[in-house]
Amino acid sequence: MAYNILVVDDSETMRAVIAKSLDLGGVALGTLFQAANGAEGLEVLRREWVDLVLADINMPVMGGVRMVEEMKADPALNGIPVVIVSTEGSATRLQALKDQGVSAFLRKPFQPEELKRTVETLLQGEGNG
Amino acid sequence: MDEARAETVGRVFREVLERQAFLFADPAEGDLVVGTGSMQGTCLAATMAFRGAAEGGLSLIVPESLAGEIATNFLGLDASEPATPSQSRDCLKELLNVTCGHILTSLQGEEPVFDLSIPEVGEVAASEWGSWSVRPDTLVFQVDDSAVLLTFHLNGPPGAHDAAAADKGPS
Repeated sequence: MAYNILVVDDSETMRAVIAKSLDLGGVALGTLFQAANGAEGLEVLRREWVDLVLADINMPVMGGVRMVEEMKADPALNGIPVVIVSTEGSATRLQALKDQGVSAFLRKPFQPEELKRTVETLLQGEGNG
Repeated sequence: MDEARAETVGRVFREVLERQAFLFADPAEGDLVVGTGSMQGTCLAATMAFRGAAEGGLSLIVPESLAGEIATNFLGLDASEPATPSQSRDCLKELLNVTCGHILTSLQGEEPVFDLSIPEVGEVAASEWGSWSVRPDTLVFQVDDSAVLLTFHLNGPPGAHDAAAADKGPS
């Protein structure tokens, strides 16, 4: 089964790195959508079928935290798992994000295998549920 | 920068550079530390600030050619497909961002919360290199044949913020 994944990061280069990591990690990818901030990400989510979101926190216009808040308030989007990919290392903030509904965290720098494990754990868990 | 903080900042930078760009940083010696003799052309300076449990900033200055090498390695490009200037700048920002996050965790532990600014990149003339390299909060590294300047500063009383450096035991 192939999964549609949305990557939300203001850096086009980082989006390319994540795309390459998904490929190198061997994630079964359907369509890879990209957005440069949370607002663009929400537009994609309301227009396309997306299985999982990989999002940065710190972005102009709308950051990842606000995007997750908007997703959780929208019944059509609140079941989509979100992985925060960032440099964040504060356990306090990570717990707050988890309480808000973030599914998992991946701290940069990461290896493709870590990304694959995180994505597949969430998507296969959802498929089994 | 006091010795404990400098050791932590330097270690984190070396680890992130190695893991992200497959490059190795050594403490710079001799002319690389204070001179501009080896610096040719333009250097790129990536800067960002943080606030929260402590406030301060981190800057990374590298020759443009090295920024290209960092990007090439980071993006997994081959030699026939060199990184574009835009990619070089993006990767330098990313390197700075990741380094900053890990420095703060290493110095402060995992409980404090920080807000990081979005990194910015500008140009620094090679002639300005010397004045940056002798700042007390700057560490100078040698990466391949290039010097790299990493400047980390905390606002406020010296030593007031280094919780983890002062107490490295488990809490």
